[in-house]
Amino acid sequence: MARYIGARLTWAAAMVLGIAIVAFLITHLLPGNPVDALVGDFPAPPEYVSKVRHLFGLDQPLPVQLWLYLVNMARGNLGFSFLSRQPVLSLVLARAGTTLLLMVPSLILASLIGVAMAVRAAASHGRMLDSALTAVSLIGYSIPVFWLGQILVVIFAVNLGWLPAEGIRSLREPGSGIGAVLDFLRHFALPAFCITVYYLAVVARVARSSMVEMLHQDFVLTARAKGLSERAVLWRHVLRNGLIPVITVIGYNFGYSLTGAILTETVFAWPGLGELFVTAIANRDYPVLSGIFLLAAIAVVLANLATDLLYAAVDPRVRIAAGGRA
Amino acid sequence: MTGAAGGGAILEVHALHVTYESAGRAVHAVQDASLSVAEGEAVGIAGESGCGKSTLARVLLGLVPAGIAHIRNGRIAIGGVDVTGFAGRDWEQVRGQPVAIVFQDPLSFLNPVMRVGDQIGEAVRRHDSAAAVPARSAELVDLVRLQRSVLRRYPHELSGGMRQRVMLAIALGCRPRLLVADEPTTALDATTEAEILALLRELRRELGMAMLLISHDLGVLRWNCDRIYIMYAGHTVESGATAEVLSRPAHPYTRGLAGAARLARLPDGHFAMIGGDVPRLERPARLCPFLSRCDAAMARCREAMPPALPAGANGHQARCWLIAPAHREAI
Repeated sequence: MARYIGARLTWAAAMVLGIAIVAFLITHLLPGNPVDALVGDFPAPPEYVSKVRHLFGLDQPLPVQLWLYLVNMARGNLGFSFLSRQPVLSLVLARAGTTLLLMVPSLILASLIGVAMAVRAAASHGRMLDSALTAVSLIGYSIPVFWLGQILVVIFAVNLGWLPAEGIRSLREPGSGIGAVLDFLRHFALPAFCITVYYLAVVARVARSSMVEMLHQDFVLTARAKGLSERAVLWRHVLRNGLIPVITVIGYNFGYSLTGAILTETVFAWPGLGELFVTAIANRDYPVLSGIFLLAAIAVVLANLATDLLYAAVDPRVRIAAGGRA
Repeated sequence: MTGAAGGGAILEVHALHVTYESAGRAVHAVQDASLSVAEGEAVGIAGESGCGKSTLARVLLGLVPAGIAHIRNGRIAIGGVDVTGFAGRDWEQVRGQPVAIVFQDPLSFLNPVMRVGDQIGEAVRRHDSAAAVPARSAELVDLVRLQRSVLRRYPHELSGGMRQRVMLAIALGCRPRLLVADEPTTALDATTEAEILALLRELRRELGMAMLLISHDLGVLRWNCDRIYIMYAGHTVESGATAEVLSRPAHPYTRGLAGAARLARLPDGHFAMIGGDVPRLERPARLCPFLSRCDAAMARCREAMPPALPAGANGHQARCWLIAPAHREAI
């Protein structure tokens, strides 16, 4: 097991380095010029432009820029935003925290409900409940999230007035203590619902087909033949085997959770990474963009690492295949 | 064709008819099977692939897919209890105790992500107290002649023979009065097969349980069963004491099967074999299912299905007009 973890960690570190290089290069391939964005539409005198270019090191050859970038990155310095002059790292991390606050609970909720739904659907394979759950998850999967978000705003914020339409806290009376938590939850409810519905559908679809497949495996007959209740067969034998493909899907989606909510964040004006991303693109804010790329990519690598480790925990055959004895 | 067993039958199957129905198509996998197993008795079922022997084994425990498999006719009684109409949770009172089953391929029939000890313990827990699980699991592993360290292993870490011993330990963990063994050695090599069969004999002697051994291999059945049933196309066509049936087969199908199993040579030097193909099972047979392949077929065979007729000593019976006292007799 230790060798398996070691191999995965080494691989993850190499991936992060590669991603940093790619992230650096990609922003330089984007059309447009950061100096123009910085000085605005105003026709800047050439000497000012070259001064700014020199200040930000943009006059250096690309490999030198890359080297400086990597060295600074290793020191935790991702540069400063062209736009707000704030350090990129703290800017990006603060926004990432807000995004995760929305995404992680929604994804966990979606995974738990999705798997539970799938097990129930598989148990009643081909009957009413199964068809109903399949239909619900198909609808959830197909609804565009920006449409659902706006409909929810119209119903619950505009017409009923139960929930706030946007933001993360009330600006006038944020409250304190339990009041602040309740205020947050009221803001959290609608965007979280949007995200949960989508991922619930994603997880439930994969989980259902996986559970149905497992339900027809031979070992299920052995479990039944012992005299176990169908409940025990499902939750103890079918679920654990059926989870293996589901873990891939959940891990994959966790990896994209930092950037997976851009539309939802835009609809509900949730001050997360997605919003920062859109602003940064509009302003060609290179350092912020590469910071977001880097962070999002590291999140994907970490999620994949966690997925690999979870695989090994669930499926003992993976540990053997990877060479490490449990 | 209920066999020799009188009182104390752990299993009685009478005129069982099982179909698989899906999308408007039906397969009559078992059409007219009757058998009985007395307490402590070893009974064999022989037949080729697709003759319905595995369906028969599984239907005894309700392990056929619900909604697709249907018992159309007949009766199954286990320990005197009629289980024919059982559904859902009813089966939990039969499965494991009094009837346990081991299957053909011990790898696919073991849960790949559960430790062997947990899989055995689960069977024990179902029929004993939780406190008894560790001691009883160790005892079971000893019983099937495995080292106790296998309890911590996963199925893929064991050899084929070890896995089948684990399957046996799971089955025995339920303290069955009848062990159904569905081709338990078919997936194993010859040496391991011999070891598992020897183990089965010892266990039966030690535990006094009855066994229903299903195999396509007459050699396996000959040395392990008191009585034997021959199945063909969903019908039990012949039954009796194993030695009697195999040495003096009455049904032409049994004769062909025994000849093929012995690698008997015909006068022209070719191996004896049964010509033709097994009948299709989309429609239930109205006449003898072996009719199209039988070289002793006569007019009577095309008129009516033969009943079980006495064919020799010790309850030897066969469903064939050849052994009817007078061919002209009414059914």
